Amino acid sequence: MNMKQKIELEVNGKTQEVFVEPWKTLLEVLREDLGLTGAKMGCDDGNCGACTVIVDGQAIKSCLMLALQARGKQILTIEGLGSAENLHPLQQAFIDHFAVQCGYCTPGMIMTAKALLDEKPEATEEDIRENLHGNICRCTGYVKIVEAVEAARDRMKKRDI
Amino acid sequence: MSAKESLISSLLFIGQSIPRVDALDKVLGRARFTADLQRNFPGLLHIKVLRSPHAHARIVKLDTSRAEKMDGVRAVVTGKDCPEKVHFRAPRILALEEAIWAGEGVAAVAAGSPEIAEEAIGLIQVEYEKLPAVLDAEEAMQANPPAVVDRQLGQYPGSSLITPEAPNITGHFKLRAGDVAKGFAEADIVLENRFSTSRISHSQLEPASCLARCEPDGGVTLWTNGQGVHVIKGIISDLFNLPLAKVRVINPYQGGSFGNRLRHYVEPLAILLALKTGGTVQLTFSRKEMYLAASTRLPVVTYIKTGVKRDGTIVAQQMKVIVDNGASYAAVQDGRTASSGAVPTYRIPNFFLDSYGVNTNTPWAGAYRGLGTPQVVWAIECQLDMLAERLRMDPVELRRKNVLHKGEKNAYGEEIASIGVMQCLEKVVQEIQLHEPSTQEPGPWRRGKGVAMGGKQNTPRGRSEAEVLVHEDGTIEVLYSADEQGMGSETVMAQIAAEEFRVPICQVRVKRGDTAVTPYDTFSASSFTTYNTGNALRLACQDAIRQILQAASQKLEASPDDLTLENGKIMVQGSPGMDLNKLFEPFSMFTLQGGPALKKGTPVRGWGVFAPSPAVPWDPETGLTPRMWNWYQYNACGVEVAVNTATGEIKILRGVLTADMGFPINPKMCEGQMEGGFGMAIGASVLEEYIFRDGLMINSSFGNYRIPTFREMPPRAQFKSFFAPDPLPDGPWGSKGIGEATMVTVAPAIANAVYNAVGVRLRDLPMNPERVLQHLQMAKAPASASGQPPRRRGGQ
Repeated sequence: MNMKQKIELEVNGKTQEVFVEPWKTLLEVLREDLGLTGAKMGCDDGNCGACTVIVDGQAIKSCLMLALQARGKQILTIEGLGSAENLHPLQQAFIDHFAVQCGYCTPGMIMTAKALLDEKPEATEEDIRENLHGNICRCTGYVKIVEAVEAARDRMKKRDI
Repeated sequence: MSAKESLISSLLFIGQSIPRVDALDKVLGRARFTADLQRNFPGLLHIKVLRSPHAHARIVKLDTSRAEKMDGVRAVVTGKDCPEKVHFRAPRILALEEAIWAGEGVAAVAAGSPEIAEEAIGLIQVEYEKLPAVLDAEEAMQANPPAVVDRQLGQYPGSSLITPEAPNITGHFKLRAGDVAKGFAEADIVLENRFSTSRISHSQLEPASCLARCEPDGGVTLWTNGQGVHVIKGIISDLFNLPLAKVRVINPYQGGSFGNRLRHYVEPLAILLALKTGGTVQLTFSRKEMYLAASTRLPVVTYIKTGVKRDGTIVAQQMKVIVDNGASYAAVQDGRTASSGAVPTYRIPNFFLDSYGVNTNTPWAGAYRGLGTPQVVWAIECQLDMLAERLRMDPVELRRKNVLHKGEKNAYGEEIASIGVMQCLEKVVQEIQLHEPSTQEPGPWRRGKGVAMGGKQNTPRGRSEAEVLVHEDGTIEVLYSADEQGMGSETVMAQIAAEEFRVPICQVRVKRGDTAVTPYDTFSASSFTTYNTGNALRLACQDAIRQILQAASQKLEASPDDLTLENGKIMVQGSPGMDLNKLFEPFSMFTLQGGPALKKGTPVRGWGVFAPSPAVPWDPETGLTPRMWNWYQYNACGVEVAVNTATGEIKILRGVLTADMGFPINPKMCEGQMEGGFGMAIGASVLEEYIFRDGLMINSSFGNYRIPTFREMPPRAQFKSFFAPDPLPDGPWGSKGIGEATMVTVAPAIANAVYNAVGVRLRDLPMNPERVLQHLQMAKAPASASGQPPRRRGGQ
């Protein structure tokens, strides 16, 4: 029995038509149907944050949202954040500050940090630690990630002036 | 300026924090990990595994008929379909007759979608007969244990014969240095203790994953995040009787490993189902399966008895180290690697050590950042602080008095070539201001400081090869097969090639991990990639340069000895001679030999091989040998903690690590290893533990098995890392390795700080609130109490 439904998703500024089964998560549809594999699967229950994308301005664990629930919302994934020629300040800072090791948590980490800095451009180290603590990294001990987010924050503030 | 200093100052890229060459792809989300490749395979089959809920059970009936008939199911396999062989690097694929731990696979399905595979698993009927299980290593190692875990132990086809002392003991290592009875007789103080560590999970963020495709010639291609492509190729060929030439293994980026993916527990099942279906299959573990069916850290019980003179000199030490393998098939573990943590740091003239590997009916265990040494250093460094207190001596002075010096021999009889451990400790003591008491505040929190130091051996293993191609346009391709699980091997290799050719990093491209393309290597373990593969790559670069200079010497009519290569220019006695690209001449258009990107003599292909000189077999009765291991990396840790006397919670307020990793090739990446090792060690120290009910792990999710988040690390200004390198004579530019020792010293530093804060001595890891509180309450209880909380027992 085919239970697929046709839905439209607005991903990285483009409207895309996909046929999805109602139980498919946004993460599965992004990865399998749209080929956006930047968001990762790291756990079964929304506790690692590797699948984080931004939905209507909010950092969302895409393994906990059904694709159907994302209809009519604006979805931003790591692929839509910046390009090699035009990196987002967070992406640049993650490179410059060695905040990347295995890289598996990196896209989710950057997306959560972006949602935080968009909402709170003056975010302090304490805000960063509090807001990002749902994103797990097993490689870095988080030190250089905090450093990178603070550096990106400072650069984004300067750019706004 | 000394010769060494002038060498270092002339370096362009080595010793510099060159940005990671893989960082751009990783921040853009376009770096490919194994599971990201799935959508490239139309008709891909998905594998799901049915697992035993019992720690030990006989499989009375296994009926797969309903699953086989389900629409969309392509194959169902059980233990009867698996090869009879068991390779110790690859656990038995599926249980046969008995399931020996709660989580062992008993059947697997390949189907057109993960949902169908999952549903089919639910249709398989299994009847189990529960058997007695043995969950505790000390119980399991008895001559008549409640259960025998692996009845085939020592009898697998092709494996070496084990004649165990007891049916669950998989090996026994003895070290007998000096005369321990005489040593204890000379001692003024003798202290005996028992320490233990919990079963923990590597919890690398990317679950184990692989894709296997059956090829038209009957061979297979495997994409996997397992470690060591050539090793995996050998295992697959061996298990399935496939010609080596028909097995290809490719390794995309790996999302962490920490030793977890050194044993190949997903690849053989995927190959089995690829061969059975003739299709392409994928197997990716869920997080729950990563806890139940992937490797774990070896829980270790350490009995330690130390004798010291009144002046602090250690005169004798006796240790019994019991290493719990879990339900490991074909295990050859004798605890020698774990107990090696007891040897590299201190001068112990009379040393009597026994270590044992023991099987239990618990999830299987193996390599985990430090290969057992952190578990043993945990005991030693707590013991030393306890001795210092008995001696009324400064714990730093006690360590200073007994530390090994370069050129001395350790208890194995090895001469120490490189040891910076005391410098590490001195730095940490100074930074944490160990001798200044913590400032106390009103309320339930009590603060304290502690330090510890230790080392980790490097296993002299295997063979590393590297190739380098110099193209006519001057770009350089590096080919190697060691892993990139996040530690930065691609960046280190790019730095090495750029340094040897003296070209910008951007002219170097690294290609890695494809058995059809990249030359032999074992895997990245024991912190040896920079040393093994790095040394091989230097030789490969030098081989290519030699060929280039040889060719140039004819054109320039100069001796090759007068020529050097510098950023695409061939220099004659330091002056520009000719451009490298002028060296390569086009073919004549009439001979039809040429082609695009092909000139005479291109690409220049350099090759290098490095194999560390092997261990010298030790006397099985004494363990003595001039070469048990290779070099040692060292670390010291200092922490300031706060202990909540009402709840038992421990907060890490400040941390300092100092490492002797030899010369740091990339300082920022070294810092990254130290910060990451410290973070991971906080988990092992105060948070992480498998919790079992009736032998089944009941906290098998990130929600219930807490690993450190941002909140458990001290704020970034409160964590510092330093280097105290003692360069290694045969390391590339004097480097050793860094990844593992970063985790060796953190737990005892925390325990020593907890003692300093609240006066209770924790002997079992993790130091979770429950355990701390229990100690605090006992300390308050009248002196008639036994003085020790109940011992940890395995599997409970």
